[in-house]
Amino acid sequence: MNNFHDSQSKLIIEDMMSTCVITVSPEMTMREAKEIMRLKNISGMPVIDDKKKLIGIVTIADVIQALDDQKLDEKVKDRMTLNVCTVKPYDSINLALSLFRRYQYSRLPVVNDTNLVVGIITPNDIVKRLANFLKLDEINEAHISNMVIDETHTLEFEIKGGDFEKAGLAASSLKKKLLDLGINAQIVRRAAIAAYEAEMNVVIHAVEGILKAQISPEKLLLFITDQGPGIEDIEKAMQIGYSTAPDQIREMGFGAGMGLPNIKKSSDIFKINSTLGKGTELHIEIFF
Amino acid sequence: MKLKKVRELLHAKVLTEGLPWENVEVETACGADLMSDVLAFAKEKSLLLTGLIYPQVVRTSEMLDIKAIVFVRGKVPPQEVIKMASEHGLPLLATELSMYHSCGCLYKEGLGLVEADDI
Repeated sequence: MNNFHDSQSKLIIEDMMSTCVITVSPEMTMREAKEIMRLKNISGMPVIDDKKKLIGIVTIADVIQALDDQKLDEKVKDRMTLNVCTVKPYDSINLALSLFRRYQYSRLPVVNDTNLVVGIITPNDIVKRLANFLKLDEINEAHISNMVIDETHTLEFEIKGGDFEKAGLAASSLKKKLLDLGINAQIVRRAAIAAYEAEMNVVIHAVEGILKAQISPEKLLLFITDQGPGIEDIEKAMQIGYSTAPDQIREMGFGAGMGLPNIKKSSDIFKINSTLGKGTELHIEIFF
Repeated sequence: MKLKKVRELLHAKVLTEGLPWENVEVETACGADLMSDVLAFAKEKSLLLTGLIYPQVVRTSEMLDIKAIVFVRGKVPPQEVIKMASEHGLPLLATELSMYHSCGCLYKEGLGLVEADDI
């Protein structure tokens, strides 16, 4: 823990802020601002002028007040909160922490010396980075997972056989989602490998298929079903080096007979069902 | 080993423009033309050396958190592959050296030295 305290004093806002800031123009109506907050699932946005300088902030509290006053069609500039508390990229994280603690802010815009908005920081940003920093995700990943995932997320992707251009997009989207949810990077890596191999199998062998992912606080469930030729001998298909992939697939560096064994290696639970002439179903579970 | 050093050792050129690459740190490397093998064996924070220039090389690297790719034997991937890598923040390098020569150079300089116990 001593190490952590030493480094904490050196951590600055820039290390932890998010640089992807959703901002609004002062000329927008409160109704529009409310819609953006709803769609982006955020609780406040910096208001910037046409030179991108910070002039205020509009929050859910401002929206509720406008709603209460029946003034949703008024402009943001007339309803926003002025005198915004901001931090600089080079300020210490300690400053942000004490501001959050003292004033119960949900976010702090980060501005440079000329008052341009360069980022935004929330308590959640700090928690995420500190967890990473302290390697909490390695020691007790379950806690972090529980903290971030409070519901089951379901994702579904269609996979087209033979479409090598898009092959991997499903696994790529799934990987991003898992990382966004704060799942431990090593677990995400295993999930990405399993999903990618399964997706490639559909692209290589089947006519079409579906990859369905269910992410709950405890685990990732993957179902991959395809309409394809099916597997004649599953036991054989599970052997390393056994492959029925055509040469053109091998030229691309796939079809070496490693896919199914690698999916099994990457998952905690792996089940496979296949009917000749119909298709194949994979059931994969990876625990967080 | 920093990518800057990798580039020097392999006399490689950098294909991705406008992407920070010099200080990207790789701990080990994986030399393969078989993506199936890469998927099964590559370690984290790896450099991938390959002679394949299909988009799937970038996709595979993305899945595995590969830090950078070196294309060997003078191969240069098509523009769309370079663009895809740039979007994912994955630096691409290209060298005229063969796979064997490239891996040898990096290994000799200490990248990802394998202890007898690891084999």
